[in-house]
Amino acid sequence: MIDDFLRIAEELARRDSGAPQYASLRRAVSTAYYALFHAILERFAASLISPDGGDAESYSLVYRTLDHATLKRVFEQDASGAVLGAGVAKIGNVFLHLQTARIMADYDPSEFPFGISQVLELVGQARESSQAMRDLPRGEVLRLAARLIAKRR
Amino acid sequence: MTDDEVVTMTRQALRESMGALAPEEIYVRSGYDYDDVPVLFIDAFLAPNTPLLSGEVSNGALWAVRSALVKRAELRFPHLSLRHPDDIYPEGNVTLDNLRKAPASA
Repeated sequence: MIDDFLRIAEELARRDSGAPQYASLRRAVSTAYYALFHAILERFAASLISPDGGDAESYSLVYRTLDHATLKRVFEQDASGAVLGAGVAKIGNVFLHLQTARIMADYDPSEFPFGISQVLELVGQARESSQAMRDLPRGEVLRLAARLIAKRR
Repeated sequence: MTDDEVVTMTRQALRESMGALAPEEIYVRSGYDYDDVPVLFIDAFLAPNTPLLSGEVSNGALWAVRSALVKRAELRFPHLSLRHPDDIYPEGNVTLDNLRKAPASA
């Protein structure tokens, strides 16, 4: 699914000959964000329950535990990677940047400030970070997962 | 940090991260994201005919700026836009001159 999101995002950015349409670029940015969002969810869920373990319902339940705001909060709290490690913090940086771009793309009616090249680079950023998420050592994924689901008392 | 200090720090961080590709023309605006969290909107203009940047270069630039700011206890997130002066925008949409006057909010 993640690779499909990335492919579709790039196709959207390149689809118009000449001046692009607003809708194409907006959907490209939004789709790139969702590629990274799902890359994080996929690794998070798989670190807790095997997607191939025969319990698809539990896997889906864990997968759907996270939301956009929780990810934003956790990534904002560890700007330097002192807690979660530089690998997670770098992914978090791109996530925060793409999330704001995605909100603008999906909801903001004012002028859309990205051209084709910049949208393609945002897709590239999502692609690189999605791969980094896949390559993250399991220990770092678990540390991130703990921060994402634990509630302090 | 003031916006001017952020410009200086961003320029230095991008030189170290991007080398010859680093932009010289940089604009910063303090603002808020959609969640009303204070952030920095940074528009950095690349040289004409700069090829598309890879995700690795773009992400490295963002990390370099973020790290440099955090070292100075500046915790506002930098929304770094690396802009191509020859980029193609939707017709009737934003112009680069307008972006230079008021950096975009993402």
